[in-house]
Amino acid sequence: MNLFPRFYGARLLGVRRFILIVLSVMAGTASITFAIIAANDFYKAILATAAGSRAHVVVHLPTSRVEDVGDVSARVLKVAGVAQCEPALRFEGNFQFEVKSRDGDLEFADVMSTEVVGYEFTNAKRKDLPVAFDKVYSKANRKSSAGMQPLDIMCNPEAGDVGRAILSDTLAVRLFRRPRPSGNNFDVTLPLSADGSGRNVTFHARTAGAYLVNALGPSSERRDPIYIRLEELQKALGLEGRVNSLDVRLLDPGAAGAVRKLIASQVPEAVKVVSWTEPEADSLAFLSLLNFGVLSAVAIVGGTAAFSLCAILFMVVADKLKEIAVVSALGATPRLIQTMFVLIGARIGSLGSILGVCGGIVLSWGLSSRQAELMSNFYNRADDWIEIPWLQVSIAGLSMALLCSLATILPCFWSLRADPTRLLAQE
Amino acid sequence: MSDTIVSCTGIEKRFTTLSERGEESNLTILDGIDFSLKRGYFTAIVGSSGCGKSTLLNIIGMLDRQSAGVLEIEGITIGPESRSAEELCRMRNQKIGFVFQNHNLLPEMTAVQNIMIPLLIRGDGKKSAQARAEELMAELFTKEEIDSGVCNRPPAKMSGGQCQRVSVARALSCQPALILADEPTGSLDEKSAMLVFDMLHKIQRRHSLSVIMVTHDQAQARKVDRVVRLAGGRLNEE
Repeated sequence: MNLFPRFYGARLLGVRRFILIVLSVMAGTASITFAIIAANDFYKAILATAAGSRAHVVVHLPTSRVEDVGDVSARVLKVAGVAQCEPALRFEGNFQFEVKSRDGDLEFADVMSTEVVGYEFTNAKRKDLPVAFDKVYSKANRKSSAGMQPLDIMCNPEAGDVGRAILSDTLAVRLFRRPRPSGNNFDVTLPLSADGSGRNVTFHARTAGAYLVNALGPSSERRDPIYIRLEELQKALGLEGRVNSLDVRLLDPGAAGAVRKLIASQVPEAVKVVSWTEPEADSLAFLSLLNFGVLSAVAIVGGTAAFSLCAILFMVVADKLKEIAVVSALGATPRLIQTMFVLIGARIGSLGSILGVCGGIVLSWGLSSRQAELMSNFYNRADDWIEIPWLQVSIAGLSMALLCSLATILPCFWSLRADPTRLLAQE
Repeated sequence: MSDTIVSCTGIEKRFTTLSERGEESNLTILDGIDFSLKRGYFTAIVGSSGCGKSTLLNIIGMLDRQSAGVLEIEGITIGPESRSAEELCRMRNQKIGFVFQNHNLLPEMTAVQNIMIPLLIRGDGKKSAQARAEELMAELFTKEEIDSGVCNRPPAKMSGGQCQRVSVARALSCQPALILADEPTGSLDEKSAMLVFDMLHKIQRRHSLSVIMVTHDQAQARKVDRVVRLAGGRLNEE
């Protein structure tokens, strides 16, 4: 390979100009990387709290015995994209509930309606838990509210005596105290009937952190589920051996909308089929907006970086036109001069992109850690490391590098107009 | 190998000019130049300012194209439109060395790096190009100058004479068959001018180079093998 383009190209731009352009490309790439990571984080949060905690698609059936839904279940399983289909029992109603602390040192407890929360119930684990309660949380401990909240309970009869209950969109128990290594133990008591007058079922929760939602949420790797006997739950609901829905998990949660339509075509018209994306329509619309924003940012920032490189190269060419005429007189072919410009762009683009991607990751990580640190009193976040969508970040970085190379085309063609006979005769 | 290194047959150069009234007129600078140069000869082209000396040199150096006529360099024929720009660049790099009136060294590079440029364009490796550049520096500069670090100085930190000597070294770097020098001492004081000319002459003798030099200096013209005068678009022996 001819060394002239590299040798002369490195000197043509000058160190200061080179650093300036690399920094501008780096800043652009860093901001794009940060935006991509933030958008990805947001999407993961939606997936984890919405699609992850519930079925991706729910087929609402009339309440019937488990064995009677087998036919519909088999048809749903044949639909492309369906990974799993389980009969489930759902129940919705308003409940009065209370929080009791086993450790006795709660500073503040608040029952609130905030996020999607997933709880699981099983017979096995329940047996291992101590039954006695240390203390019933009282008004003296500043209990702020215990409101009537809608509750969606679901269990899976096919899994033997292992049941599952999902408290969706409604219940979060926020415990204001610092995390401690032994974890926090508390109980949530729910009267399982629509009017709140039914029998009470108490769930025991043990969390390592201060915030139950994060400790128990499906996004957390340290899930510490609450368990209860399925029969007990069914009895409490008065629906022994009955199910009223199919819980469908998909291979790709993102395809829930399309698969919902396919499933709807396989079941009777009266049956309501709902995908997880419907209740999350607002969040997903916001995500689309965010993605559009990121895309626009990529276009604007990338365009600005490419334009500034192009403008600086134009200035360089204007400044060095005579020198280019000299090297042309010394035998540098137009192709060598073109290669030199492309190499300048590629060098700036690759260096700026790599530094920018690293900068964006460090920035995202720094802000994520800072957020976790600021909110450590409320959230016990062990997963403060961000998740990087490498493919998108790589595409953004490569696009910036490519843009920088393309930005050299116009100045390059302009430089090829350098006429040695005219420029060197101007002495 | 032919004894003739450059041969010009009926070389013409015309420009179309536009008068203030908007009327086009043809200006003939070179009007049928017939000229040949034997290998190893030092030739001076003299003539009044604006007579077309530099234009002829540019045509011989393939920087400019003739309007008519045929140029031959080492047996390779170059007509008005017969070769592509890429081909001309390659031939220029391999067969011709230029020494400009104003040294035209690249300001951000050192003396050695400036000499390396034609070699790198040719495709030489960095180490061999540097070795050749240092060899030429040793030939054209005194030991004291080399020891003072002139090799690693940019043009801004060298005298005019030193710059012009680097320019000569750059012209010699690819061991060309022909050196074209357009008033190489025109921008130097008398002493430096004589120093540079003597050095060029010495180098030409030592390496049996063919040199065409445009000059106004009669003293220098008297020292070369052959002098031709350009007047009225035509070339005459003196």
